[in-house]
Amino acid sequence: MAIETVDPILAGPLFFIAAIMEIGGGYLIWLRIREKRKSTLALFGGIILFVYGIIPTLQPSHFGRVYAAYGGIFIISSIIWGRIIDKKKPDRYEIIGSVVAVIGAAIIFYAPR
Amino acid sequence: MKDSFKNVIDALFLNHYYVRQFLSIIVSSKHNKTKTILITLFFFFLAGLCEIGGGYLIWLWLRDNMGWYLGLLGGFVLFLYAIVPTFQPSHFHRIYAAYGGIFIIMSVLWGWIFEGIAPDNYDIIGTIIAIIGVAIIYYMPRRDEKERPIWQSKQ
Repeated sequence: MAIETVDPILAGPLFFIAAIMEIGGGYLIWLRIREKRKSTLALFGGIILFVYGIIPTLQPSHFGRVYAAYGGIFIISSIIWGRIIDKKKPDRYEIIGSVVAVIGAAIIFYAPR
Repeated sequence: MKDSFKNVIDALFLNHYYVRQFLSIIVSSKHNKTKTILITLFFFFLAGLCEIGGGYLIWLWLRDNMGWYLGLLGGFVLFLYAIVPTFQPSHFHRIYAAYGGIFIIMSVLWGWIFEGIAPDNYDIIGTIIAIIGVAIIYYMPRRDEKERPIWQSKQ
């Protein structure tokens, strides 16, 4: 089964969609285990994670440092997820630490070489 | 069909419960900070391996035209990946944000080991900054959270 890769311009949005799916799928499984919710949620979580696993195969080239940028997107998405879905305001250290880690990712990704 | 899926999932979480009990026995003797940090780092690392491994199996299926069963196995490994963070003490968003930082570090190591791209100065500086970020997000003690043994089950 061969798969078509997408235009490089879509790489950024694809990573953002990937982060939402990864966090969302993980959250459904978290709900089952930590919050004792229905098993069906975990099943949906597993399906979402499977689809999430397909997204990187659509990316046009090798990842290398692009994955570091994805880590940065992932951190911001996690904090936003907690704020919107879990209704938990990020505390001081979460905000400071996230900014620091995202700066680290930006240095890896944007440094002129 | 639906029931058998449910049974499989329930069986997995039953095992998970025993894992949690086992871990709590290991760490319950004393609240030991170093031990806690090492074990939580191990789980972050394990999650990273499962995510990369599962993603790679799906990659083999779709990009390298290998068998579909590899893709299915990859999906299952990704499912296991999502179970790993539930072993971690703390809130969902804090665990995931810290994991994002771990992911930055692992991606640099991944490029080095498997793609032969040696980290340059910028990679090293960025990685160190990401490590500091993870330490602040996840390991900074919070005054309002009383100390308790990790993996304390809610039930």
